[in-house]
Amino acid sequence: MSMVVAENLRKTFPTPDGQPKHAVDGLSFSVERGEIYGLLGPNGAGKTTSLRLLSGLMSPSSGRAVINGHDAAIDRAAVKRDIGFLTANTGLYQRLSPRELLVYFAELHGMERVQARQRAAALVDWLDMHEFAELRCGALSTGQRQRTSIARALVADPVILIMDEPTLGLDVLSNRIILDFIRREREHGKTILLSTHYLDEAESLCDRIGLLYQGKLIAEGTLAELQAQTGEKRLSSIFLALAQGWGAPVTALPPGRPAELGEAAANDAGETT
Amino acid sequence: MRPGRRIGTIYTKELIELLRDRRTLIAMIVVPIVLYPLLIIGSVHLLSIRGEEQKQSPIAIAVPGGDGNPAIADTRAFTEWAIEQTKATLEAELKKAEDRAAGDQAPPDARGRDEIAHELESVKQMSVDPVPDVRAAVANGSHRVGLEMRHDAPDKDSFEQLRVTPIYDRAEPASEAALHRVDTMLELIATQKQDRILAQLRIPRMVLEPVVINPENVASPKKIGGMVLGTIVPLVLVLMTITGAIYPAIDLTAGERERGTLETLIACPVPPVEVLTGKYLVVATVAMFGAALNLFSVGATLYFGGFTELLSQKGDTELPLGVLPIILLALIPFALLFSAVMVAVCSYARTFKEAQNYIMPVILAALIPGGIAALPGTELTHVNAVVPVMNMVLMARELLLGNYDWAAIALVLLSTTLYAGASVIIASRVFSTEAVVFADSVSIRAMFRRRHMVPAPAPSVSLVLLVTALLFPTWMFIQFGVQPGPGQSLVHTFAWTAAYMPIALVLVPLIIVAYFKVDVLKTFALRMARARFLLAGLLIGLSGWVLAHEIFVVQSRFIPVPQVLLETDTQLIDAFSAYSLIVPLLLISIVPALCEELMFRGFLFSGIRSSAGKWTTIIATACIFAVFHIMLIRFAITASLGVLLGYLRWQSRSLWPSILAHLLHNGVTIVLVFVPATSGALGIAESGPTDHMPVPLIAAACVMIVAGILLARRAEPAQPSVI
Repeated sequence: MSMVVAENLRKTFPTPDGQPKHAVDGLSFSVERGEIYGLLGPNGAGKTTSLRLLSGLMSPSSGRAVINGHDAAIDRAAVKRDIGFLTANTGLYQRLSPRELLVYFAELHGMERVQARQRAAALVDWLDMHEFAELRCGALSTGQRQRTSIARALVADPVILIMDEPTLGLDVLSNRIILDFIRREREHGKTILLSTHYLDEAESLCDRIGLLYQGKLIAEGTLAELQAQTGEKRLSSIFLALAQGWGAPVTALPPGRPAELGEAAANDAGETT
Repeated sequence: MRPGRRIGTIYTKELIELLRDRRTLIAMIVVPIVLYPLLIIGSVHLLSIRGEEQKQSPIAIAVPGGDGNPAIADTRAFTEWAIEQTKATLEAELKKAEDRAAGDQAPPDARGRDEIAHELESVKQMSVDPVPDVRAAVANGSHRVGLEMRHDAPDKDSFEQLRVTPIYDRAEPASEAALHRVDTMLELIATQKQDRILAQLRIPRMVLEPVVINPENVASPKKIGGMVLGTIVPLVLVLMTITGAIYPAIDLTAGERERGTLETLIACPVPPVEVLTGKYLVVATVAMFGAALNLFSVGATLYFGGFTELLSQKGDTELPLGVLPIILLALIPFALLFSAVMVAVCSYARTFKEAQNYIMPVILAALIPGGIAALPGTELTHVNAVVPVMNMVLMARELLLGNYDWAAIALVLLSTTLYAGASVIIASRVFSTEAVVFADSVSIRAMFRRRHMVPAPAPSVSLVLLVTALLFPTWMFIQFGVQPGPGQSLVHTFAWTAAYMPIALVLVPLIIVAYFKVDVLKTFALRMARARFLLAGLLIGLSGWVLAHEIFVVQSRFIPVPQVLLETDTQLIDAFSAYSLIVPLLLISIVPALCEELMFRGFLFSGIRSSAGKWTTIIATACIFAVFHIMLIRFAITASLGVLLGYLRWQSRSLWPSILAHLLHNGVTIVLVFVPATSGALGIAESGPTDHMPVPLIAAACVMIVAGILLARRAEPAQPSVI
């Protein structure tokens, strides 16, 4: 069974000037159990909105998002129980420690206090957070914050992880920890849907990749399939080739920073941006 | 998981987080405990020091100086003489007062020793200083006060009038204080002159004051203290609870959004209403605690600092510490309402700054009714008891005056809870609205545009509760504000009510439902019901009045029935004596039954049902229905009928059975009152409002009600959804 299914998802935002903005425009794809699926696209392609629709945080204008058999717009509570959602901005409660934060979210997910403490302790062990587990979140480094966020997303041991830009702004070391962690989760049978605009990361991490451009899925498949489809070898070239087919000027991609466009793809961890 | 535990989790976490914020601690604890007492003590101390200084400091009285001018010499001589004379008089008076203190009986108008000593000290510090120009000397500040006399001043002992002009600078407090001291001295001189003249003319002094008016106050010092506090404290409470709620309300709503933690929070399987309830309770706790701390701090400073006299103009005022618990009781509704309103308002804001902008108008809006209520003469009557803010200010004042009208207090607390609840529900809707959560992707204003609204089968619970809460004060106004004037009968009130109901209870909900693209037929449940439900409505409608009567009789054993209520029937007959039966039937029975059903079992019921189960919906609407009937003594009856009507509505999925039952219930009651033959036929013509009905009648009614319930027992199945 597909764990995550998007069926012709559309999200239209009203704008003050009266012109509706189609943030997500007829998106259809599915993610199988134990798969890492990467939604790839430039800024403003609709990645974040798609993930929000799939996790029941937003209602689609039309279409359906089905998570583990539950419709995300109708049975929101069930969807929210099944997924661990990692937001792009690692907003943490500044005045709580990572451990307190984990206990809090565990309790919000319905655990008793004792159980919640055990779960938090297990996550602190697992993600090697001992060094900073008792500090206030406000005092953590970006990497520590991201590890805390990931622990938070895992707190209820969800079957599906939805991660919005999990490695955004991380240093080499933290990036390595997060990517290893994601692979390890897949080995444990978790289904992982993530968005990124680091093309190299998508190449090395994802089982399948969906290329998103202007709210539309312009191509989908394994890296090999995409290479075969376009005749290009590098994901960045694949993307450019496909996006131009959809009317994108060559400059439609964000100004090229080497790590983002994949020139440094040999470097598995990527650069700090 | 139980909602209570989740709310508790959120409450604990938010409170911990808030208390770890240094800004909260400063605002909540340091300011009230340290700053206020320091400010109060400091300023009062300074003022009193200045005051004492001015009373006892030496003053040189400027008089015209120079040689050879007899008139000038006169002023100087007069002033010197006046000082010496006053000193001598006061010394004599002081001696007398000291002797009296040793044992003699004091005459009733005798002045106290301290007062005399004080005046004597003041005069002893005076001296005369000749200057070339008195006015200039006072104007340039070298002298605080000066004195001039008409240069043709007659002898000071003559019968002619003496004209003295003290010169002072009104813009200088020190100069005014000096003027006051010189005035006191001159008045003593004047009295002595008066005495001498009266003695020469052999006229008794009482001629000048033939009638002595001496008002006597019967209010206890405690009551006066209550009055003084009653005018100050409520407005202080408004400000303190608002200021106490501002920071946490912003921090917990707009702050959460600004820090980017909101998306994570709403990704948790927790209903937004629970999140907001937890947050609201934290804000209310902090507001209450902060305001209480403020009050204790200010109260203790005033009390132990001996400043209670400042609050009262005279010494016979008592400000007992015992009022503190009462003030704390009065504080509760303020904290409940303002926290809810603040949370609701701040939920709209995306940033701290934006939230602060939204709060100013709220404070102003709160101060206006609070100010009106603080005006003397405003009383905690029925309408005022439900006007937000006004009711609390009035309640606080009544409590401080020692008037405990528990029915009014209950009404204040009840209506406040209603408003606060509606605010929290609205806040939870707003807080979790996509447009507000993901403010980056959409304009909030677009949220209110009708063309962006999605058609819905039923209104949301927040919408119906908000509309109901807003209608409540207008309804109270119609009920109590439109009392029959002179020459008008009760018909006047009933006519107003009958005119108001279709507009407020039907038209307003209808317009709102239409605007929000909600299905009108479904909301008002206008589909026809099956015959058995109509029959059930018929049976319940015909027999309900017996049940209502019996509830009332049983209740009257425990709660005394007001005389007014016992005379309702006679009053009604008198009022409508000039009209045919159709008029009371229309005004009291038909119009209210139709309108109330459309409002309560239609609009309100559909809204609550959209997010609540069967019995919650039935009981909640029945209670709100009963609250709208205002008279607390009839609450049990109205609520029971409301439950029966709600049951019919739920089971039949139609409004018609409950309309039928309501119409018949009201109709039967009216007919029994206006057509004596009918009550005669039932054998209850002579029975009073607190007598039991005949047993056969009760039995018959019970059978009918049970039959009605049984007929409606099998619920109408839901229609297959078109989707």
